[in-house]
Amino acid sequence: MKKRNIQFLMWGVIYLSFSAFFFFAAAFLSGNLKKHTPAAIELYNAQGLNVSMEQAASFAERGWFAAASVGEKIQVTDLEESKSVTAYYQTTTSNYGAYANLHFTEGGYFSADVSVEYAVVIPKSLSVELFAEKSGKKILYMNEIQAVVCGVYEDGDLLVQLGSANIPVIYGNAWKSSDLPAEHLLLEADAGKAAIQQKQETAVIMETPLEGEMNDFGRLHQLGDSILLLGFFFSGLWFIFRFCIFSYHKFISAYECKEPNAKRGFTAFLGLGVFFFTVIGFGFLLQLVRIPAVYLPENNIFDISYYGQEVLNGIQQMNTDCRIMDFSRICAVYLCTEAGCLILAVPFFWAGCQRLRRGFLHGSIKEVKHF
Amino acid sequence: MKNTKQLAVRMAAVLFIFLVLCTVAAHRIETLLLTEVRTLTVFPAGVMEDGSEAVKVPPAAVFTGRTGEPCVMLLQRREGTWGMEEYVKETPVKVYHEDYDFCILQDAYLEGQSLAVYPSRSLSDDETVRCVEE
Repeated sequence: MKKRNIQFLMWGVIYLSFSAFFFFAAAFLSGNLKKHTPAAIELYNAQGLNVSMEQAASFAERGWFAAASVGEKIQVTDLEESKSVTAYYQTTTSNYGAYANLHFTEGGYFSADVSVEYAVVIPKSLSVELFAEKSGKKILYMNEIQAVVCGVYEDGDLLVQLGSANIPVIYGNAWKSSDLPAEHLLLEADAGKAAIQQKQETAVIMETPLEGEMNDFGRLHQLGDSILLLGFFFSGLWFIFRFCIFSYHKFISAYECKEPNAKRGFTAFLGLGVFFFTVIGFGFLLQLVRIPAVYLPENNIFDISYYGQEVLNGIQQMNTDCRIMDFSRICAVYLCTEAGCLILAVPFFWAGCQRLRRGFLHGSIKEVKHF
Repeated sequence: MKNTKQLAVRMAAVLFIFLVLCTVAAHRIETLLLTEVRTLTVFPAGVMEDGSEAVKVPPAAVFTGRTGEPCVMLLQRREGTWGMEEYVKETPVKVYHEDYDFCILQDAYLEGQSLAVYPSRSLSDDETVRCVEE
């Protein structure tokens, strides 16, 4: 019997350790989502937003948003033209690096007043492929046009690479002409404003209609935290159920006269007290469920078709986007992985608590019998 | 007969516990489904050249009312079924001047009061809302 108790306790600890691991993984992913995607509202159109890069750059200087032009595939070679790599090139405003959360291992993003005509930043993988361990000034050819490398940014971890296409992205200051149409704008997400409102305000400031697709990454960051809290909520439900069962047994025991007469009142009181605290605990636990209003239907929370439509819209949006650095795809990868971790963490937590309960319960029964 | 009675009592106890938990959950769901708003406290009023009082608010605080006239949504508190709740009161205002940064409201005695801004859905008069902590 004693051996069995220890087995239960050991399994309980193992399950809880697994649960803690998955919870930490989910929290890590939620943090990484914020690190690798901009807290911005993205306006996107593969064919351009009816705004030229020249026009966008004048507003970007005032810090209102960052812009990137419609990109194209190019051939990149090193100075000796010994190595050739296919890459994707986008002209951007000088503040794009800060908005897009690019992390630099060498140099930094080019400034607005950079002296060279063609300044670019490249991913680390491309830098290694073209320049290997070469130090000093890095120069490359993009479709036979010479450009100076100002900075090398991190490619991102495995999840980021899964979220975007497997082709290096080069960001440059200007190429050929600045009347290229802007493919996407990143507006700094204001926690106090709805995304649609910020889009309208920007359109008014620029005096041009902005009709592109809208991805609100500020809200998606918030959703990452909400999913994490939802996981804690489901874990906490175990205690609510156990306490409910406990109080139920006490009520029935008092009603069916299983206890001596003197103890009946106390048993009923105990059941009532535990149930009262369970209800209060449940109320507090529900406070962990914080879903932004934009993700909820207007009147009926059980409106399944609404959620189905939202999911379909999200998938459709991700599939229609064919651009290379796709933040919404990265967000989807992070959020789905985070949700997966929590789906694993919660049953492990429940199983661990159940095993520990059984281990302690058998131990206490044995002690009573021995006594 | 005794078994049937015991079964009925047990079922009633389970149902009671279940219903109490459902009530708590329903209250939370109801709160979640309320329109989400941000709040804004109106700055002290200024005096205009003609001696009238005016307050400055962001354009997001000015809505169009049922009559098509400009209005602000004043945040008020009242006693609801589950304790104190917040609701919005449509208050017509006279816009003296407006631009992208702010609106000047003339003869609007709103100094120090809370206004609802950036609602998650369109607001209507007397609607109960949920204020989001910033």
